[in-house]
Amino acid sequence: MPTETPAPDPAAARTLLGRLETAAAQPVPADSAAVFRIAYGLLVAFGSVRFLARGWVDALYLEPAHHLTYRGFEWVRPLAAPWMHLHMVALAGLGLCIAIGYRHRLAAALFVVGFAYTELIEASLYLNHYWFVTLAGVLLWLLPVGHRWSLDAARGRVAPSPVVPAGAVWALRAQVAVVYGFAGLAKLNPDWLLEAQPLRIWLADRTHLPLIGPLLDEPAVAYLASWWGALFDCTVVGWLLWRRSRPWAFAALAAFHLATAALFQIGIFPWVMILAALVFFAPDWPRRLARTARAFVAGISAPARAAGADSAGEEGLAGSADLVGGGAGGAVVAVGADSTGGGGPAPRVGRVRLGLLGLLAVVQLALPLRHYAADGNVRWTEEGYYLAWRVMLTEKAGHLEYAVADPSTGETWTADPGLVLTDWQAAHAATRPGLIHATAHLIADHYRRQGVADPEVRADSWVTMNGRPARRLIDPDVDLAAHARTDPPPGWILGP
Amino acid sequence: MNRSGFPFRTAAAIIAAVAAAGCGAGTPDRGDVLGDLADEVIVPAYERLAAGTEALADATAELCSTLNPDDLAAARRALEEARADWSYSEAMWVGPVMERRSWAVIDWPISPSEIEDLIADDAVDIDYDRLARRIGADQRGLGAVDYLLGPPGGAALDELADPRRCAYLAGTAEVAAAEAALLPADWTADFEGEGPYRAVFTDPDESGLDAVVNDAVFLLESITDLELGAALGEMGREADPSRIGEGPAGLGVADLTGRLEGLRAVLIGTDETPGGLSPLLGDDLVGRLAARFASAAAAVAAVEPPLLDAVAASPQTVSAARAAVKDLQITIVTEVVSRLGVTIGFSDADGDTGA
Repeated sequence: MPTETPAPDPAAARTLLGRLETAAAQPVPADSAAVFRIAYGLLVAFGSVRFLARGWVDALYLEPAHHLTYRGFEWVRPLAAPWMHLHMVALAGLGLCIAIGYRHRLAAALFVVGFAYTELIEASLYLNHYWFVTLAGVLLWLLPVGHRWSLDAARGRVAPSPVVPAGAVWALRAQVAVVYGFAGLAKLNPDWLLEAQPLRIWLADRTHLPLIGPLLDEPAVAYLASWWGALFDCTVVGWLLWRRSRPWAFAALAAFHLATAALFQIGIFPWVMILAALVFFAPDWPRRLARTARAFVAGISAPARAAGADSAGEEGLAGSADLVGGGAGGAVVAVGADSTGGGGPAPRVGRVRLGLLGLLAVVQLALPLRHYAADGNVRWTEEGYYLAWRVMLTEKAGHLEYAVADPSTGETWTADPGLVLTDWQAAHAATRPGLIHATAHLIADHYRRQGVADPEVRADSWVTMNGRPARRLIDPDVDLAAHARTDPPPGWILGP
Repeated sequence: MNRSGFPFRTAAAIIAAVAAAGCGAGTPDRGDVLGDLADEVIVPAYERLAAGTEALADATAELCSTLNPDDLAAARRALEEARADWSYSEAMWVGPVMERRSWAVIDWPISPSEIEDLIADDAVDIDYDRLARRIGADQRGLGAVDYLLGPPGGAALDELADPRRCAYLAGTAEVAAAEAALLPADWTADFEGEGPYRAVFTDPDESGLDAVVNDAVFLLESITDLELGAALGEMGREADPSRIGEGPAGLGVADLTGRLEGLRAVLIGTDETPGGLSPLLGDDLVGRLAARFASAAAAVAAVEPPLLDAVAASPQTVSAARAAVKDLQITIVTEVVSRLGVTIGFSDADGDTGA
């Protein structure tokens, strides 16, 4: 049996924190959290296999002679073939372990470490949905979501439990909410709202699509899409939390992500978000959905509705009394009949894990806001741009070369990033200051190997953002090779 | 300000401004713009090339029949014009010219020793079939014609008295003309049994816009980095003048001028007939491009031909020309590419950063 959740201390319950703690410890059906775990595991397994099948392990990790790493992570290197391929196979295997609930916490921890390793190899491949996968993996490691519909529960490795603490469902919902909330906040900028950029550029390049294509180069459509996108991101979590609007909000969310999937090349991100958003439904929605489906198939919908009312209250898929945090009742206590055991206390989340969850929350709030502490427009400087849910905010194109000088001879010459980077790495490096700095060091290393003792490397970097005239991004007088990547020169990024 | 403190009037003004901006005229249809580009720029360019290379073939044939100085001068003028037409078309190297590998027939860096070996080998007939189908790209085309006509003031007439040599000259010009003659028809009549290529080019599903912009980017990169930059020693630690493929006629500067004029026609049209892709670019960017083209043309015009001599005698002038073309390149690689959405900025894998 799972460890019992401690009984609420009456004195503590009088404080706000105490009430919060009490509410978070309330047992709620574990179904939605289990489905989250299963969907996550299957998606990351699929994503890993897809990565292998498309040859991206070779093209993106093994073929480049050099990699653009994150500041402070220059030591991270890809494994040699075939170990890098096996690493990806292992990630797929860990995803399946998470899905079937075989030592899911260990699997999640190993997956996060292994996945983060692959992400750290090449900074130019940064994607927001990879960051989401990482954070959700950490949550699955910390949360007791392996006691339901899992191999471990079936084999008795962990105590089966049809419930989880309400806080676990809160945490999963919060993880999804963070994405939309900060993505919406980031869209509240003049380019997005007043210029409809970058959607105006991107949509105009999609006029070949059937039906809607001819409309996509109309400015009014770009404005409508921009404002709708901002409104959607800013408010969808609220609509998902409100029982009455939840089905409509989810339908809108699915339509939104399917539309972005059709318009842009964003891989599994839409599917990740659609599946993750299911966690906003009542915690026992999978069982209700199964019942409804069975009733539909059997043509006995009336008795099924009656049975559903018996075990899960009066609400439909939209849920109502399940509103975790909204007090006890409804689905919070709807844990009676269950194939894995009866109701009872939720698996406990220990103090250490609670502390880590708190730390994770602080990190997730701090990272998207850190750009406010940096100078300049974050969309231009990209200081604090990443790990911050700044999704699809800029259309940039850049031209990058380096002026290399050998101070011992006075020789100067031009070096193309292609000297040390592949085309796709160079294309990303051309618009990102951190990667421009990293490339300067790679070029300096290249010429050191050729006998230039102390090469000076200056960037000739031009970038256009959201349709503006091209501007210099980096001060061409700064010798980037003279500054460590962890200590970039002051004022090296010029204004837009 | 109302009692609630919410700035309704300001909000209404912003919404009205946005609505007004959104209700502006949409950009022209991309297929229509590409259609105009094909009809007004690309097809006429290939028609001029076909006519120019045919004139060259006629002129070399005439030269071989008379071997007189006037016909030699006429052949050189015809070569100059055909090269100008070819250089002009380089910004339009999309579709048939690439799929046919016409550049390997019309103009490719030559190997003089290979040409001399073939002329000297009496066991080999020099006829159309051999020159069209049985020799390498480095043995034919406008470069071979240039080589065989030799430099102005040279001993070409004496050398061309060798019938095999003159047959080579006239034959390779004829092969180039035959290849060039295919290109206009590919665009307007039929290409590989699938109808006129114009239809493919203007079909939004076929990425004609991407192809023409990528060709522009590659063309400029070739000029600034692979040719001028390398020849000047600005792209590495050693100067390599051989990267400029200039023949005895010394047409390197004219080639640069032709390539820039063709590129201008594609992107913004000519002074006489504005057009090209300009309807998709916006007046502001068209203005900046026009200024960049004018600067580049002036800087190139300041280079005294032959280009190879200028690289050695006046490298600062050539370097200034390269810098002016580089400015143009930067504007196209950044602003044109971005404005047209030719690259969305996503990685080769999935993307959502828009960076």
